Amino acid sequence: MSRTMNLLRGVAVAGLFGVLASCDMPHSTVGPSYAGGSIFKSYVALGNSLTAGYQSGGINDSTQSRAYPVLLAQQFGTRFAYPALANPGCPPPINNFQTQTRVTPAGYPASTDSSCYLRTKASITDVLNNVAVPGADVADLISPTGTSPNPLTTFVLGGLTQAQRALIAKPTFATIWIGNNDVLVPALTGMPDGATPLANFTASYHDMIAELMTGAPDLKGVLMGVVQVAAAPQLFPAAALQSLAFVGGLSQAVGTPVTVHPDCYSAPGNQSLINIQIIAWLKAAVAAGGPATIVCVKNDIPGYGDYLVLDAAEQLQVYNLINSYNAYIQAKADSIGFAYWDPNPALAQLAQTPGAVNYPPNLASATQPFGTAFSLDGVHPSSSSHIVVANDLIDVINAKYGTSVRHVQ
Amino acid sequence: MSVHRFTRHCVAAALLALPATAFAQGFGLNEIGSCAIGRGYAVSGAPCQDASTIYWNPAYAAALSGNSLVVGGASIAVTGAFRRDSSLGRYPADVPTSYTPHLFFNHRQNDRMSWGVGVYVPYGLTSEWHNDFPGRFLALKASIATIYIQPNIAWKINDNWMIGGGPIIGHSNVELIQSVDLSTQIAGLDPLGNPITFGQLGIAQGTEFARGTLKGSAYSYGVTVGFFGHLNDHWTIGGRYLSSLNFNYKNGKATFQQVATGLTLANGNALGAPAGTPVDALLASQFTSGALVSQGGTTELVHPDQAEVGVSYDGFDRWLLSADYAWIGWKRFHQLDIHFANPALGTRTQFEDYNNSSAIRLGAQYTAGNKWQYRFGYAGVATPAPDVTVTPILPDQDRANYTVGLGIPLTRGLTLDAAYAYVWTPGRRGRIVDRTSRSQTAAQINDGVFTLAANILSLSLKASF
Repeated sequence: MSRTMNLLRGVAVAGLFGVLASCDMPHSTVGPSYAGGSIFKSYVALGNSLTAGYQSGGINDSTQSRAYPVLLAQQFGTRFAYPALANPGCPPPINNFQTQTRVTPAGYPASTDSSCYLRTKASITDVLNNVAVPGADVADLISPTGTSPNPLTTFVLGGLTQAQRALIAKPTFATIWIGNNDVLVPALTGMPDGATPLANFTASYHDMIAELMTGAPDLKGVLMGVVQVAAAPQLFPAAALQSLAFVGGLSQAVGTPVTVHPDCYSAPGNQSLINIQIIAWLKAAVAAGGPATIVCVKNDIPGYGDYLVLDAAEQLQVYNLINSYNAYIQAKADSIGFAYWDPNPALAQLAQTPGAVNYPPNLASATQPFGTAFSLDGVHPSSSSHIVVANDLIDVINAKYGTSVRHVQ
Repeated sequence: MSVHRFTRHCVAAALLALPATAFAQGFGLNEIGSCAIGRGYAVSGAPCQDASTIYWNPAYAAALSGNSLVVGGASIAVTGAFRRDSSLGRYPADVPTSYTPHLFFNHRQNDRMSWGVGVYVPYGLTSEWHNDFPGRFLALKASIATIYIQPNIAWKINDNWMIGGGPIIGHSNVELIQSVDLSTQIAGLDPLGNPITFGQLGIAQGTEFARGTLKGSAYSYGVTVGFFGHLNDHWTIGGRYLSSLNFNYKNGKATFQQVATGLTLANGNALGAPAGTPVDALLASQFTSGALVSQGGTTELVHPDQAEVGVSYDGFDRWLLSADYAWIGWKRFHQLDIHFANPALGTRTQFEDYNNSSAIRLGAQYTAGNKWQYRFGYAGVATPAPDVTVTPILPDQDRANYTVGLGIPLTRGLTLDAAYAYVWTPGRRGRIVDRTSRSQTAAQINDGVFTLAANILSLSLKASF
């Protein structure tokens, strides 16, 4: 009995040791929390300049930090690393519409559209959440060399594709806004035949989604439709040319009196959209000995009325093509269980907001020629519009996934 | 009765004095003799009755009779992982099971004096990770294997008190395999002469383009001393001190192997290369005539000093209870400098900034009527690593060691000791990137949680003759 009691006493001592082991351990093992819900543990954004945070014809840390994916990530409560470009940018954004000067810090050489100040050291990371590259079209997301590469391709992706870099983050949630560049430049230049044909677009989109979903089978997210790019205020309606003041502004910008061809005042020319970059084109034309004339119907003056002019038929062509793109994107979203967001209703609503979008641009304004919704290039949304986009997306996400992500204030 | 009251007070005092938890911290090892492991390493004041006391308390060797031989080893199987915040990835460690030997011999020369020798491994480490581990730029594999040879003399001052000690001859091998990150390499200079890294050109952090291996070995020398005494019929006390040994690995060799990045440059890239140029082709010359040819490399590593004091009580029938306090001078592990022969690589510094640490060890042994001995132990260890130095090389953290052991008499002079220890840790946040400046805080660079556990098995064959 005595031996048994001694044994029990010893076991009790050993048990006490075990209790001691449960003493508190002071070192934190707590990882990050995700305010928006666990599906946002790792969020990636793929896309082009809209997603990258391009504004006013340039991009830098300041514009990148105001992009809608950054705003979304803040509301999700999740980590979000973007490839910050050192101030003043790569290229630095335009800060005066009239002079077309770009952000230039004191002591720096005057910035141009080819200036580039590289990535900030702090932004160098292996897990990048915003992998969007300005200029990217749908085929670029899975192509290492790209169909429309530019210096930013390597600055952002470092030799990988957007899909590859996105998958490094082991994403649980993605927003994909791609396709605008497949039609943007052809539309803005009045050459819509250069847009990516629907078959090519859908094939590339399919492959891109397949690569992402293979790499992250449980991925959730939002596919975003293509913007009706003809609604960008960089294109102004030919009817605006009836305004002497507006034509006077154009003349001032070109540096010589601008004449308006009579075809701009009657159908079909009066239905054309003219790119504001016609100013630079007319300067070049004048320098080459040509007239400073805006022509609204193709070749009413040989070599005029086509480039930078989107006539009614071309507008319809662009409109239908984008609708076809978006029908495919929406169907793709449905097939993979993603939400779909059509940006066009939101942009149409913005256009109804006084002061938000200027048609035609206010050439007398150095800082807001296209309205408050657009930056100084007339294509890329302003910071306030990124908030609109983010909040629209939040509504779509909450409806689709039952989350309670709050709006950006 | 008075003895028991005194006992209770001491146990209570010991418990109150416990730190958060404490034990073999850093890259220290205590797997030196199965008897000691089974008793939670609380053996400086209650030494095992065998020659392994040459390490645990060199004085007590004077109390051993005749010749005592201990030969054995321990297997240490470590499991661990890193769960990264930013990618949610879980990266398991790939640590092979380590085996550490121990060998002790003691001869009692006369009633007063004994001599002997011990060969053991008090410091060692192997951390190894898989090839996709994002922290491989700090360590894909880090290995330290250090063996101490300790001649020992023990002297009995009188029937109750004894002292002992001897010199230490240490031999250490190190191996460090790291991936090399292209994003941190200099790609050129800006117009003001400031270096531009590949990372600033867009190369992702963690783009492995080379794998470097540094190997070296060194000798160092030190000393250990101990004392042991009987306070009364049931209480004993003992202690030991092991000096630090500073190993200078002067003969190291660094080799580098190119690793394909698979990167392809797009048109308009800042390197000015044509679209489609493989990045690997641009880097190949670095391995044949550039900075990454094989070259010498040196480093230095201190094995800190240790002090331990313990008491034991055998007033309960057949029970022996013991408690130790151990201190290790890890504060000397301040930084790790690796010097490369090629000036282009220069010196790479890893800030360690360890703190001194302490441990509480508790042990119990029950001797049955058939002479079998049942051992139990617990050791709590407070980590010496600060929050900012929890890395893949050594993701150190507080540890709780639970141990059990068995002493099996085989013949009159032959005993087999077996022990098992489970090392539990709570997990700890750590980093997988370099700390490039001491101004960087744990909150800034820690990016996940390291988990760690170990299973230790030890066998020792003891002969008395």
